[in-house]
Amino acid sequence: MKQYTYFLLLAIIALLEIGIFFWSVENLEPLLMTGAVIIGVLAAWISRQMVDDVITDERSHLIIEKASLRTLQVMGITLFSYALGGVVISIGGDTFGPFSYQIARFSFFLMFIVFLMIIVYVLFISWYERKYGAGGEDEE
Amino acid sequence: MSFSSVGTSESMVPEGRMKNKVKVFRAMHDLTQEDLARDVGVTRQTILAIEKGRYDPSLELAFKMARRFRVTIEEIFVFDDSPHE
Repeated sequence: MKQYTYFLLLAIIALLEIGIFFWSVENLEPLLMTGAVIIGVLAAWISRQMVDDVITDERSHLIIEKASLRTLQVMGITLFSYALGGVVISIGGDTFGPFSYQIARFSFFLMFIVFLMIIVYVLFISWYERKYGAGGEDEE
Repeated sequence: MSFSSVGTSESMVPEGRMKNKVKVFRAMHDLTQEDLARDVGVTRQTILAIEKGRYDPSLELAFKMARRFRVTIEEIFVFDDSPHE
């Protein structure tokens, strides 16, 4: 399959997803939307395997790695600072208005997500450290 | 900014020290960027980035290019360790 055909297929999948989204909203079908996203991603992945041209290479992988790391850093710091602000609100009780409790609850949830991200990050670091590390015993 | 992917970090190796003659060899072999990219299994944008000195290829890709041009890596890629002006 040619690269252009792949991009055309991606565009068709995206249009279908948008269509299914609006249909799901009108008919209140959340499961259909969730299923459609999973099937859409799978269809895109299968189409990509069928492309003969080179779409990604070491340079694009490096760009993705760097962009992912920066995204993780920026989002991690942003979410963590917002969550800490929420904790301050929760300590203040009703001082910050009637929605303080909801804001505090959401902030604790965000804090949980941030810690989950850190745990997943450390696990991946450990995994790749083993994969690309020296391993075995040191040579004297 | 230039990317360095041959087991070095950007802080360890000063930027702009790797030079290459990919464009020269490509012209000598009458190849387009697209041809060379296809032969060594990368995208045309990667060849362009290497030629412009914005990206240092991996050792594997450097070997592939050297084999394609039937020369040694050192003939294509030069590490310029002379002091900067």
